[in-house]
Formats: sequence, C-alpha cells, structure tokens
Amino acid sequence: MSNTNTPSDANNLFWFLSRVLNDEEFKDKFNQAPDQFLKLAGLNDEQRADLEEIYNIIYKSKESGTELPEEKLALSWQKLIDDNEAAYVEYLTKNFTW
Amino acid sequence: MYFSAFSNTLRSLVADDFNWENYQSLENRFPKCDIRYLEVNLNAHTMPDISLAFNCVDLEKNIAIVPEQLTSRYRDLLNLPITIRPAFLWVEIDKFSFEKLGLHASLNARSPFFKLDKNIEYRTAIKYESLLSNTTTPSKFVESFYKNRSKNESIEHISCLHRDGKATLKYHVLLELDSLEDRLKQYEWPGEHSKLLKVISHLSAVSTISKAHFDISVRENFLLEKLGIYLSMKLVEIDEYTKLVSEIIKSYCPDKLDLLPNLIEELKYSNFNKYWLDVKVVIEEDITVKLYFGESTSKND
Repeated sequence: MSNTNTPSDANNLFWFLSRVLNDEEFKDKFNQAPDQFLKLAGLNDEQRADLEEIYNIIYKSKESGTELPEEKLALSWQKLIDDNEAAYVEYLTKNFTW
Repeated sequence: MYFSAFSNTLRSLVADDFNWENYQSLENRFPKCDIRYLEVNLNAHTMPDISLAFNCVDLEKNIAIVPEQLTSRYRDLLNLPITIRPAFLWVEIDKFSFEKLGLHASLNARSPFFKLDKNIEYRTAIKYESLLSNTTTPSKFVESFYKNRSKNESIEHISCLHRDGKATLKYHVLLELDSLEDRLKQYEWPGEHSKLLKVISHLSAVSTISKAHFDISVRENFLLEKLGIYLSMKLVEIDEYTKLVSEIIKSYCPDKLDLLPNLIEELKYSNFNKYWLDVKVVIEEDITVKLYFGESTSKND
C-alpha cells in the first residue's frame, strides 16, 4: 500500500528517526539535505541534537564495524523518550498495533 | 464506546447464546484501556467466536487487565533495558474467559534501531521467549531462524497464549514466499505442505500477499501444525475488502456465507471505512478465516 502517513506522523520525531534509520530511500534524501528535512519535521534544537546523537552512535558503529555501544544508546534513547513522552506514546500507538 | 460500534455486526455473526454481557462489562470495567481490534474467527464446523485486544502502552493500564498469575512476567518484560524492552504490549482476550487469557508482547521489530543490529534482535527474541514461557534455552525454531534467515526475513513479534496450563509461543514472522517451502522444511513444520502451497497459491491469485506475514506456533519446543497467513489490508476500501472476504469465505468456510450479507450491509452503513480490516487464514486440521476490525492508523502496511 502506498504511503498513508498523515502530517502528524511526519512531525513526530520518533517516526522521523525510525524512517532515517530504517528506510534507505528516506535516509538518502535526508543525507542530501539534512537541514531542510529537520526543518520540515519541526524539531527544536534540543530534539535535533538528541536525534543526531542517536543517529551518530548507530552509524559510527556500523561504519567502523564495531559492536553497538548498547549502554550509550540506551541512555540517549531514554533521554529522548523522557523529554518527548507524548510524541513517543503517539508514535507507539500509531505504529505498533501488531 | 468502541465495542458498541461493532456490536450489531457482531451480533449478526455469532450464536444466539453468546454471552454479550461479558464483553460489555469488560469494556465498562476498563474504560481507560483502548480496545485495538476485534477478531472474528470463522471456520466450517463451529459457530464464530470473537476476541478483543487491548492497547497497552503504559504499565498502569496493563496491570489493570493482566491476571494476577501473569503480572510478574509482565513486569519483567517492562523492566528490560530500553534497547530491548517491548515497544508495545497488548492483551488479547479469548471468549472473555480470564482463565483463557493470553499475554501478548510485541517484539521491538519496528522500533527505530531494532533491525540495525542482528545481535540485539536475536537476544531480544531469546529473552522474550524465556520471560513469556519460563523456558531457559532458546527454542529450536528461533535458533534455526536466526542461523538461516535472509536479509528480508524477520521475527516481528512474539506472543504467548496461556491455555490449559500450557504456554504456546506464537512468532509473527516475515518470510519470503519464494523460499517458504524450504524454510518450513528447515523448521520441521509438521503441517501438510501441499495444503499450504495450495492456500498460498489461491490467496496470491485473489489478493496481494505482498509482505507474506505468517504466524508460526511452538509448544514445548515443537512447531504446531497451526500456521496463520496474514493478508494485510490496512485502510483498504470497503468494497475491495468485502470482495476478498467473500471469495475467501466461499473457499474455506462456505457454510458461513449466509453471515456475509449482514456483515457487509452493516460495514457499508457504518464508519468502518475509517478502520483497518485485516484477514488471516489459519491452517491446521481445518482452515479458519479470521477477520480483524481495528482503528485505522498511519502505518505504511
């Protein structure tokens, strides 16, 4: 089925992060114009910094072929959730029905 | 209330002696627990039965409906490190008998970073197995799955149904249709492969099984003949849905065809086009058709 996401999904930073990490096409477009994409997502500076931190932890580990630093990732992920609880619940509700 | 919106359709589907009060009292008892979907089971020999599934995003809501004997396992799941904690949990109630209640936990398959690390995914699956069914060693199925899986295959979530004092683990798996038969042989699936292939061939002809989701059931480390095939129809138009359901019911439970007009009529005159409508065909001794009615979401399925 085609993309049926509503604008509220696009503005959800967890949805945004999920697409950047899991959707190759989305990631390529994001990497071509990250500022434009982040502006579209409506992220504030703190959200943007948190998101970039998670992105960097994962991709540095991937690029270097080293084991994912789970503890570090868990801390950053927990902070993102704690700071954006409503957005996280919305993201879960819309994306984890099964 | 969510249940009320469905009740007329459901009343037209099930036996006269069905205990509707149980459904309504449960909804009244736990108004804060969102009902996510209704499941109607149809097969050729028995009257339809119905399950309800509740959304369980936060602990407080969950504990309210999880039976006492399962709460410690439930807490254990929610106390896992954030990187492997279930992103979402739900409870599915079978015929509304609390003794038959099954605890379902979704694997973090679609969390932002889950699929990026094979080791996390494998360890999560093992952990969920052990917490849900009190096993200490990984099942043969999970070992074999992660040893042999291709890039596009994944375990999306693991559920556990507690019934008759035994736990049945159910793996919701994304498999490639091309290698399906080989995979099932590899996992030692005991069902009739010819029956499965016939069903797949039929479903492929009448619909798009684009994602090829399957439910594989394991009890006491052995695969059960029971195998579910999902036709994901999120946000599908009602006409398309009813056409497909008619075709499937005609093929697998023709004696239930007389239930269809009521169902279709009510779907058309309700707001059900706002909901997602899924179909699942389950192969065991018989073939059962499961119809799911849930609220629409923004998923890409």
